[in-house]
Amino acid sequence: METSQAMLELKLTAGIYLKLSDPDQAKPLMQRLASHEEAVLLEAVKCLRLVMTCSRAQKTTAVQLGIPQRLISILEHHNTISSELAVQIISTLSSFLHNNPSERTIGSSLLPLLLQMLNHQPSDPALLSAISRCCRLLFLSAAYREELTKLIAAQPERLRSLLAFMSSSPDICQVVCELMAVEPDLLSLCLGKNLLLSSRLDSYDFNLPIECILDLLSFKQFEAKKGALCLVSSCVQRNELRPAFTKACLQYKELFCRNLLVLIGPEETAEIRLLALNAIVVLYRKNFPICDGAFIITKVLPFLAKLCRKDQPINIKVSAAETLAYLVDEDVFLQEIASYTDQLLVSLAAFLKTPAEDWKRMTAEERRANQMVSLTECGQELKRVAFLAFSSLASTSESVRKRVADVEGLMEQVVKCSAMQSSPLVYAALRLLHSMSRSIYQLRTIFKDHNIWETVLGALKGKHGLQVTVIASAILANVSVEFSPCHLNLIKKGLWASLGTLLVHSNDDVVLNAVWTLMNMTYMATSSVKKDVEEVLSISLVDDLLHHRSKDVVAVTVGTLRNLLHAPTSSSSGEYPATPRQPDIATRILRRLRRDVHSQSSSTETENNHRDVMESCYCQDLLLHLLTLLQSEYIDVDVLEQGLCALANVCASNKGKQLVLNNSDCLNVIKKGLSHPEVVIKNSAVFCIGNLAACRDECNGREDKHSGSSENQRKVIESNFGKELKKLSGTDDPLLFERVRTALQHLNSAM
Amino acid sequence: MNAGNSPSLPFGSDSYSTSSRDSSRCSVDECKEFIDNDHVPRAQMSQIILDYLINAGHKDAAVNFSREAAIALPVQPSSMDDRVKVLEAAHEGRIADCMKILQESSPDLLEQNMDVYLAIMKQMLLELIRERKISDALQFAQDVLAEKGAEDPALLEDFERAMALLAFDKPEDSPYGDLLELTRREEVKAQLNETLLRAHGRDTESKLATICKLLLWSQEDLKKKGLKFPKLTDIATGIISDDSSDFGSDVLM
Repeated sequence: METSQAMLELKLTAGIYLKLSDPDQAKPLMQRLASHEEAVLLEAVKCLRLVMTCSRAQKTTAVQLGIPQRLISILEHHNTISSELAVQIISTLSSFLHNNPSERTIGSSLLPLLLQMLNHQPSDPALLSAISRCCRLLFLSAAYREELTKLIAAQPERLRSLLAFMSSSPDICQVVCELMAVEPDLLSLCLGKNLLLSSRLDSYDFNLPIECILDLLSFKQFEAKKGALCLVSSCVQRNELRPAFTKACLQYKELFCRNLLVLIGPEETAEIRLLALNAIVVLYRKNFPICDGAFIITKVLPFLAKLCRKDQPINIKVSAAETLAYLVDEDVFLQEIASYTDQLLVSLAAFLKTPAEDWKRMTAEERRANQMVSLTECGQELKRVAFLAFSSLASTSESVRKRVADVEGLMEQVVKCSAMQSSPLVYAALRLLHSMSRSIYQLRTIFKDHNIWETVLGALKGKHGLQVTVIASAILANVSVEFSPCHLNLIKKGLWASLGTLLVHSNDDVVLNAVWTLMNMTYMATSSVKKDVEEVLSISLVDDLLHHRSKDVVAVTVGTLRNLLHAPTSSSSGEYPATPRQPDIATRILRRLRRDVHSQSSSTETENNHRDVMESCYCQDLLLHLLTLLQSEYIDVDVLEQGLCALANVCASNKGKQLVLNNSDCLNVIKKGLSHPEVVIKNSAVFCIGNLAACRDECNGREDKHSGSSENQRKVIESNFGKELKKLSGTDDPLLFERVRTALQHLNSAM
Repeated sequence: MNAGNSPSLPFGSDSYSTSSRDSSRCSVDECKEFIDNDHVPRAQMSQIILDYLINAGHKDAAVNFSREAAIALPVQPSSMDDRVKVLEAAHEGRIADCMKILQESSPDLLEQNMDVYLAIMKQMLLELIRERKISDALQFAQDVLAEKGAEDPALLEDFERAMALLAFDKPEDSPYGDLLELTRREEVKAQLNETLLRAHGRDTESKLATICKLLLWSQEDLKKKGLKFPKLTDIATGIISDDSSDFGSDVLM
């Protein structure tokens, strides 16, 4: 024993080479670790840590000898041991977590223990430091991060102890920041549990995290700054956190802005500069007064464009393009400027090429960190962000759209990538198609050349999740407008079957896009198309859609009914305008939803060579459902306007006139419309009366010889609309005045 | 003319470049006059010196200098203690002590910086050889270095060079004697210092070192371009000479 002891002392003095796999050498150490004498135990733990440092083999042997369990069992009684021993044990257990991929169990036992120790509010700074370092180390592992999140979600009060130590421990501060940035739901949860609620204020008190974030921003360590910057971006992007967070930021506005702006300076690494830029961009987009528009145009935008250039490392290019996409999205002015900044389109076009050289230059660690382990993954990631950036640039401006469309090989890549397995890549490709599909010119050129309708129908098969289905259905709505040359192709390749599925989708946006597609398809549609629609849009489905929770779905459904209740045209192609009046389809569709197009699409186009639409039972059922909707007390103004326009279409047909005039509910709806405070509603109601009273076939310019026309006119006069119309003749609205005048003329001619 | 690296001149003739350079050339006197007139604020200069003293680990000098120059010390003097102890241990070849202090003061530092750990381990082996503890050195190499060599074969060559010293009665005089020179300890010390500074959030290079490097790089770049200019030939004394004598790039530091 004495010899062993002497040898151990020698080894301990040398401090390095006690081989744990040698039982003779390990035995004295194990004996000391089993001791109940704290001084002996302390020395043994210190020795253990020395011999294990950076040695995977020693750590593996130690695990086999059951040393971690012994240390954890000592730590479980942390109230009975000295702070110094606790520090040594935690540091030694931390050592097991380093460079030891086989380790799976130590962290699981250690994590709740550390949170428990924090709950006891350790007063010794060394102990707090050891706990926080170990927490941070565990947090670096995805598995433990998930475990920590679960532990806090199960008992949100646990976060209170972490938050309490944010200001005293930079490591804890980093853990909290990174935890919140990666798992923003946790922050929401804590807000919900009032963990961040100040006792003095009625609002959420973000002061503690803000102060810590400010500290972290000025730290030298990369990880500290990164955690803080990610948290800022994350908090600002979350709707439920933003008001409280930005309110707290405003209290420290000057310091906050200065710290952020310093981080985009040349002394910082490209990665930190990008993260800071991202935070600035997010704050700017959410209207936080971080900087003015001039700063964005002269500094941020050129810098982002520069970081997208060919000579930049891949991970920098990817982040820069993503931030740039977010910055310019929805800002047409910035889109125009960005498209001319530092040859951005050329830089982004280079993203589409196989990045063989760039990929070779990345280290294995960089590849793993950026999830670009293979060249294919790397290429796909570059394409994904390029599509996102192109899509934001081309989302509004027609001129930028044309320049994006001219990028060599872009559309081929988009079509190819839309059919790939990676959902984020498919989404990005479809987002670009969605931006391009807002242009009638693009619909008639590149969409036609590349058979985009096929890509869209393929993406609607639902194998990529909701996000892709939403964007694909939005493109479908755009490619189904009347100017689009792919109507027939869509119908041939199973549009109706796809719509059948989409119309009953659980997501409101998907349903809205599907109904919108139907509305587009039924606009000035032929009888055969309307017949097909009848198959898809059963009366029960119409009923469901008219009672949908989304107001927009109801409005567009009524718009679809308006088209279905409109008399068919003699030929499908001849009715389409030769050139679009509006370059942007969204604008045009919105215009059509408003009253501008009434005169084009409604009343006056009934032709004798077509059967009256209102003769069909389907349309009569539609009218009944429409009427039920219009009689509702709480109907939305937009929906009411659309409904009255649909009713105006009904009133334009002879059978429709009879149906309306013989239904007192219908007449009451129109009467109510005349006295509605909104002028758009009055307008539509007057239009209904005008159509009811009209007895001439204005398309052919000859007298309508229909047998019931005189009877109809008599009924209109008896309905006492004249008195209401005369009241409205003093209106200031020129369109309403014109319609009132026309309606009165019709009535007077019938008297 | 190397078209790939230097910009092409608009009129493309030597006469243009020569006359242009001569006319714009600054003499030594002009340069000195410029330096005399362009004062660097004293406080700024003091900050640069203090930054150097802190980074180099000269704690007492830094404390005294900050007091004399009446500027605040940007770090707590006590926070320098452990770094100073580690550097002293490394300087004196007490590697085991160095390890122990590191483990106490910066518990995760070695685990997070495997290159530093390897440098220390290699120095440990060299110190054992220097002290002629042959069996300990062999045991150490077998227990510690062999594992690292197995994990990364690229390290083996380096370890083998060190082990080769054991074959000589007077290893200092052997072909691998350079490994036992004291400059090796200084290299390890510098590496440790840099790592500790980084871990404590300080710049790993002092501002003074950066300025000196920038100066040397600029002079070298001007020389490569064939320009003649007054050159700072001794940084320590600040001697500026005309480059007609062509001191080359060997600037004294």
